[in-house]
Amino acid sequence: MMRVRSWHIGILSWLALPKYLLGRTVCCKGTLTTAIGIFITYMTPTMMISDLLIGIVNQHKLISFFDRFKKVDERLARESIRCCNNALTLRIRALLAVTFLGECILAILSFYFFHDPRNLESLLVFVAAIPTLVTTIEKVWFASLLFALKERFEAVNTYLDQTVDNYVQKNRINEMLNDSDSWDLGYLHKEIFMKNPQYVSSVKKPNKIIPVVPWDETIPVKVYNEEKKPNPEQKESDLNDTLKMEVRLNGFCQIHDEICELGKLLNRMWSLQMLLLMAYGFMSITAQFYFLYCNIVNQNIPVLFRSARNVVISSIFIVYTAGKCVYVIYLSWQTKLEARKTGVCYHKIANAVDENNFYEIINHLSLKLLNHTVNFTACGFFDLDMTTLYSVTGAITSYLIILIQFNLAAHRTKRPDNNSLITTTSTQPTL
Amino acid sequence: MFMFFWSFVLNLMKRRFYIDFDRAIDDIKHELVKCNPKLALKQVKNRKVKIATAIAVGVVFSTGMIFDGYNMFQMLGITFPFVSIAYGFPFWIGCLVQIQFIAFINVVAEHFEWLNEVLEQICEECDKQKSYKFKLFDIQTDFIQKSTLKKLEVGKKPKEQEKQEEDDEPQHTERYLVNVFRIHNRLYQTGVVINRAYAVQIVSYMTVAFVIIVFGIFLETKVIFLVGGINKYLDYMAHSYALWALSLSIVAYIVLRLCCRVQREAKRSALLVHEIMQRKPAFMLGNDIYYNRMKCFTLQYLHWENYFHFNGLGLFRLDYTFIFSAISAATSYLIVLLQFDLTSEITKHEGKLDD
Repeated sequence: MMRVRSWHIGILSWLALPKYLLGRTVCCKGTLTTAIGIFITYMTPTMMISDLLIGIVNQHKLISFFDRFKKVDERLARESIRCCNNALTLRIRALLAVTFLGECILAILSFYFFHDPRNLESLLVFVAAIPTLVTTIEKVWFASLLFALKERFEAVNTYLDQTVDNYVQKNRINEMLNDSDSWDLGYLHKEIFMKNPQYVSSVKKPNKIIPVVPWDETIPVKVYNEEKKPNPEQKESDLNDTLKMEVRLNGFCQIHDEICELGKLLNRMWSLQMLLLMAYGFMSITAQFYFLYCNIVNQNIPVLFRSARNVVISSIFIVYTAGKCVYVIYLSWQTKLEARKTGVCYHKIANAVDENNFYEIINHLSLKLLNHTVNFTACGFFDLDMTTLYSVTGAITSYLIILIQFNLAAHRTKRPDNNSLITTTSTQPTL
Repeated sequence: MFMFFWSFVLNLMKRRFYIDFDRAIDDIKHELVKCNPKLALKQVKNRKVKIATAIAVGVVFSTGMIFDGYNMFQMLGITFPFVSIAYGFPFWIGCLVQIQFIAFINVVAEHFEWLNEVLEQICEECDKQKSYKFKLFDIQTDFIQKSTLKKLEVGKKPKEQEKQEEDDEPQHTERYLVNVFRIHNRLYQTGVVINRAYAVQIVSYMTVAFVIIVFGIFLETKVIFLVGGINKYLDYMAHSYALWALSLSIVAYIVLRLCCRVQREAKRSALLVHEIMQRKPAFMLGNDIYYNRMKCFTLQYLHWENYFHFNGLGLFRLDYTFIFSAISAATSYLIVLLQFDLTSEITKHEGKLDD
């Protein structure tokens, strides 16, 4: 299925190439712009072809990835954490919609503004949009899988957090119930609960009062059954049962481990694509900004970048391209953070329970967790991290400044009498 | 530029409930810290520093305001208050948000410091106990330290019954160790919450401050060395820019410093716990749980360190390293800007710039 799809699109890619060759011959003779132009023209087809090739190579890995993923889900379900994929499907749909919309808008706008509808060749602009569309869809794959992983991590973390919360809450109620001798008032818990704040605040230290909600409501979907019942008999939560909890925590640690491994696999499958995506995003955004600047100062723009003649198109293009990169980076950053948070959650449990056995278990597990970190890199060149985004933004700005400086110098030497823009005057209106 | 600051204002509105939430949590922490380690209120010590910084910031700000107001009055006449308010408003708002952030961070930092004091106390007590222990060893070596220790310390009192109380009485702080760890954990959580609430503001503030500082220095150098006195408005603009850049950078520096302080204090408490462990106090010998607890805490600290730093949306850490990178970036931009200017002047063969 995957292969069929890939080849199908591969044929289309060959259709798209002539347009690029055409574009190159039309490209103007300035050395700098030619260099950039060649790079960018061949970037998207290269990206697409590499995507497809790597996709074909990675088919088996992808299948095994899904198998393992399913296993993880089953294990989570055994711990009665249900990960619903609704958010994921919604997100995939939204991403696909955004992708199609962006590509279509770009293609249609550029067709509308710069092409002659009577000329059949100009329809090639739609064909030219295909490579970017395909590559973006590949990225949507990556992003959605990443998001799924992140959700699993989150599920584990929230589960652990809730366990702690429930435990703390339960202890508090236990204390209170012991005080008020109302152990068998099963369904009256709510009322006692209601009294709880005043009670606690008046008698005990004016501590933090956990928001007083009967715990049926505090517990969302992802909670196992024993804790849902507000019966005093079942108040013995798993946290009190050390052995049971040890098994459970061990299980979670293994699940975490497995998810981390999945993340590494995912990263290995997509690392080259990510590198290409970042390179492409960097190049194209810089170029687009530069030519937009050229357009604003009324200079000639090479035909290849005529989309920069229109501010709307170029802004859409920049936002769309930047959005792709930023979204991927943001997601991987979040996933990394969630993976790291698990260790903290484990320790929180240990702190809340405060028993010797527990400490031993958790110390043991947390060392394991410390060694098991998931990190997303682009071929190992740089982390897919927000810091990368920071540095890339800085790089784009400095390159832009350099390019503009070149440009200014060139124009000054051509027309020394012309009053060209000076930075001070351009900054003044913004004051 | 105004857009940035308006986003600040919007954020301010949106985060209002967050802020309340933070404040509530901070109060809780405060009380927890107070009731557990019986710490006296030691804010007085810090108050001087706080007041000094407040005065410094205030002075710079008021200089900026007065300078603006004065010049505006000269240029615009009667309507100057409105204009100057409109001009200075974004700066004020931006800095106000940052100062709020600073206040929160400061509270967290103070709590960390108190925690460290508690830990230090425990450390000292360890030493005391150790001396006891050695005395004991001379007398009766084969005894379990725990019970003997109590005997010695109590001396007169009946031994068996009051074991627990005695255990608490002389060294009453290690009992709170769990609470200390819990509080440490929760303080970190508060830090995360605060950081999350203010991340966007910090990023936009830092960006704007960076731009303003670069342009401020640039314009100022230009006015001083090249085109001073030619245009009154330009002079005024440059000066006011420079002043505002100064104030913004001071606020940014305070933010960074406090964030560093929080991290440092958090780290120090882990180190202190290690210190306690190394001294092998008496309460640890009989009981394995203390050892495990401390180990757990230090491991947890490692996890926290991995997981959380004060950052602006993950883009950069709020660290002294950020100052370094910002300064290097600012220098290179400044050089580029000056180069622009110089080349333009050389090619034009004119002394002045057109305005």
